[in-house]
Amino acid sequence: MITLRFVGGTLELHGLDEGDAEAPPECRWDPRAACFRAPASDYAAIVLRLHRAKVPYDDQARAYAELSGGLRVRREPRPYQSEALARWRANRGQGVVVLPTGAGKSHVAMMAIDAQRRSALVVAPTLDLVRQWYDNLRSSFGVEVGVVGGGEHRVEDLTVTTYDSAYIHMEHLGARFGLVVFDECHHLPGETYALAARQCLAPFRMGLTATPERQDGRESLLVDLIGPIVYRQEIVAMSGDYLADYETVTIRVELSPSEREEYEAARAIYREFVAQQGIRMGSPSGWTEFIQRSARSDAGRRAMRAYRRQKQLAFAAPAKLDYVEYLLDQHRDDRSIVFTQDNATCYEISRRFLVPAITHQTKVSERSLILERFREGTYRAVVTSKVLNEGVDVPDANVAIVVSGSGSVREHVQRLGRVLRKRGDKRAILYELITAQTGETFTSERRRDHVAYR
Amino acid sequence: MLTADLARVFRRQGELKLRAMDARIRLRAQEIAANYIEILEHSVGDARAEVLDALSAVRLSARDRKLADGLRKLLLDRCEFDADAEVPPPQLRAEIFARAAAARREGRFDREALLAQIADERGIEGDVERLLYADLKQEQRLLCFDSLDPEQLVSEYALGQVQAVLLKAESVVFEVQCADPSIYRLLFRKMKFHRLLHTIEATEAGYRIAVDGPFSLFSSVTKYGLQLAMVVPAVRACDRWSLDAVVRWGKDKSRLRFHAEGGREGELAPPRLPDEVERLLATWEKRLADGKTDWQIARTTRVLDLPGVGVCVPDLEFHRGDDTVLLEVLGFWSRDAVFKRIELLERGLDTPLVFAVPQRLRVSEAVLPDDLPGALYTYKGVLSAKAIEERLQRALR
Repeated sequence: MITLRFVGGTLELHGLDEGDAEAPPECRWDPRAACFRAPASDYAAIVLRLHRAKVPYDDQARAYAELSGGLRVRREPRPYQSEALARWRANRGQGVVVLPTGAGKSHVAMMAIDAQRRSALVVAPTLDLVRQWYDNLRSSFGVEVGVVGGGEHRVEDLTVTTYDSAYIHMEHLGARFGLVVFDECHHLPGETYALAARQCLAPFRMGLTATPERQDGRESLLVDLIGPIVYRQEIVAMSGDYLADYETVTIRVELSPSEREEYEAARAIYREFVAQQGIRMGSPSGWTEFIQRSARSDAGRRAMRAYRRQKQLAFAAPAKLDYVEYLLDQHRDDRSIVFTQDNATCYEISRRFLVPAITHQTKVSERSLILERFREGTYRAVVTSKVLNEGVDVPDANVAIVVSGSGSVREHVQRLGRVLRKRGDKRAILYELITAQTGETFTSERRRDHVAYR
Repeated sequence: MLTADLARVFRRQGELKLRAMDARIRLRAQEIAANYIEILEHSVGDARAEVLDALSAVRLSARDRKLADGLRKLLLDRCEFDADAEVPPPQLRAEIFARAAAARREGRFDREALLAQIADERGIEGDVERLLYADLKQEQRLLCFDSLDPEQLVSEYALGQVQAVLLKAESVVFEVQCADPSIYRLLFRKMKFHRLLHTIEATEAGYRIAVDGPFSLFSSVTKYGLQLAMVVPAVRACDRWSLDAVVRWGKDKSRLRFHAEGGREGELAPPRLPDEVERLLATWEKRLADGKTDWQIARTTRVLDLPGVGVCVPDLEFHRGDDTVLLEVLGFWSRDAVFKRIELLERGLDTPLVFAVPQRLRVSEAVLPDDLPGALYTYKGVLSAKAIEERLQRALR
């Protein structure tokens, strides 16, 4: 009889000899261990095949449990959430659901876990999101929830982990779950993270994202790793129904004459180095090339310092920070979130205006306290670097102040999503502070091409 | 451990090569190391950012940068940093931010006045601002530094280079020669512990062992790099060793070959077996000389590998005419190892095997089915030559 075993992120089939015609085509003979082997993700296909061919087998691979209970709190799903779930189930519980941020993607996952009743693993890109899924799962299902990552390692029938931890631990965890949910699944097609998906045998797989498209075009891999896009709803089709109206205000801040002078000088040093080395910064590899070349000589290091300085002036010019002060005063009765490009600017704003900062260095307990106080109104403003970008529920913010941004389309949509909640009758506002006549203006114009701005 | 980016390497014709650590470079490395060590010894109590700045201030020529970064990494691994503040910073922040928010809402926000007031209330001397984020990584203080000699550090660094490269390895082929079976055993145990898979091939004087992980069958992945690097110390313990790896190197992840080798020069010393086995060897040779046995005895460096079942590294081999029987002494092993040996015999090991198991493992000799080409011998303290000869006969059936 064939025996299936889960070993290090793969499926071993024992009991067949090399060249046996009964071996499913997903498998390969592995002379190192004298057995057939397949990626764990082929588990569902292999079991289905053996079952159909009426080949008896002993399944020692599957180590997941049926959940004893389902959702404790039942919320009436929105029509598109029900439809997304129905489409996913119609595709044998494999596929990607595309919904804009704020439309309740995670609730679709909760409904999926409830429907399949199998132990489930949720993989999320940041520890903040891990924390949020943890809270959400615990209150929705009323059971203890495991966490793997950020210094914790506790596995339960419902467990949350990061992509990084999934990559490291999937070879042990891969058989423990019948359903795997990849949150913000546009991260998955990276070479290393993709391996985590292949080392997991969960027959049911769900991907969630607002923007499956990747700049490297690898999103086509999602079909293999999770399944096809089974449901897609764009932001334009949704706004007005469930998301607040919003307006965007772009503010161009002039550098002071001395800042301008310093900016131009720094920029000249950096531009000269780039030109001298023949690096085309507009090309996809330009930035990497610049980093590599700049590390190799003193002139290069000087160019890197100059690059950072001009960036810093463009991002956190004093005039810009003064304007932040003005906006914080203007909106002192609102809930504002200030977004910065880097941690340095984030902490500078925090120190200068004495508003709490949340970065990847902020401990879980402090972060919870800050968000709690923001929710209840003790704090009216929070400044954050990129960590609040993706899908973290920030309660009731109606003002966003983007002090700087990298210009990546995805990042910006997700930032927008965070403030698309009106407060009373007030429309939400997104301010974008850019420094006039610097490289950053270009970034901002590139962003505007996205559908979210039309 | 050194990270891959700290390996001093260059590419030549599809091959990644370590830059040689010749006497001149060692000397420069020791100078840099001495500087860094002195700075760290005097930096206890300083903020991480200050410590890093002090280290960065050591003047280096551009060509020594990577060498210096590697030394620095190894030294920073020996440092312990943590926040050092009289008031817990999160608590201080929570108060300051809450009062600032309240003041702002009432339209009376005055930053300097607020900070001064809080410093006054809490009796904080000097700068409240400094304490605001004293727990940030950059602000943490150096609490202690586990110092060492510059020469020691440079040796550690040189050894670390091979491991740093292997972090990016897809697969490695080790060639090892070793007179001591216990080192082979350690090597295979390490590979098993790190969940690596191998295929073994005998070479003239040793073994060629190709190593990667379960998933390597489907695609070449660098996932096992860390595990492969962890095996290197066990390989280095062999008398002679070399390794050939395929690595994915640099930002472009080019696939490159990598070779390293080492080991003792000259004639290999005879292996040293565990005491009880050495005693058996001596007794047996005396019995041979006295004509009490016709079984010849020899040390062995054979490795028996049965894919999918396991590896067995015997200590001694016995010959009589055309017959050969191997003996493995499972001195410090677990009961699992005993059952693994039985499985090996059941699955068709090509040479009869006797394995000796201490009585404290509480395994009955009857667990080994009679029809297998092997025998089990449970012993207490001393390996009895007579009892073993009886098992050799039994194993031949």
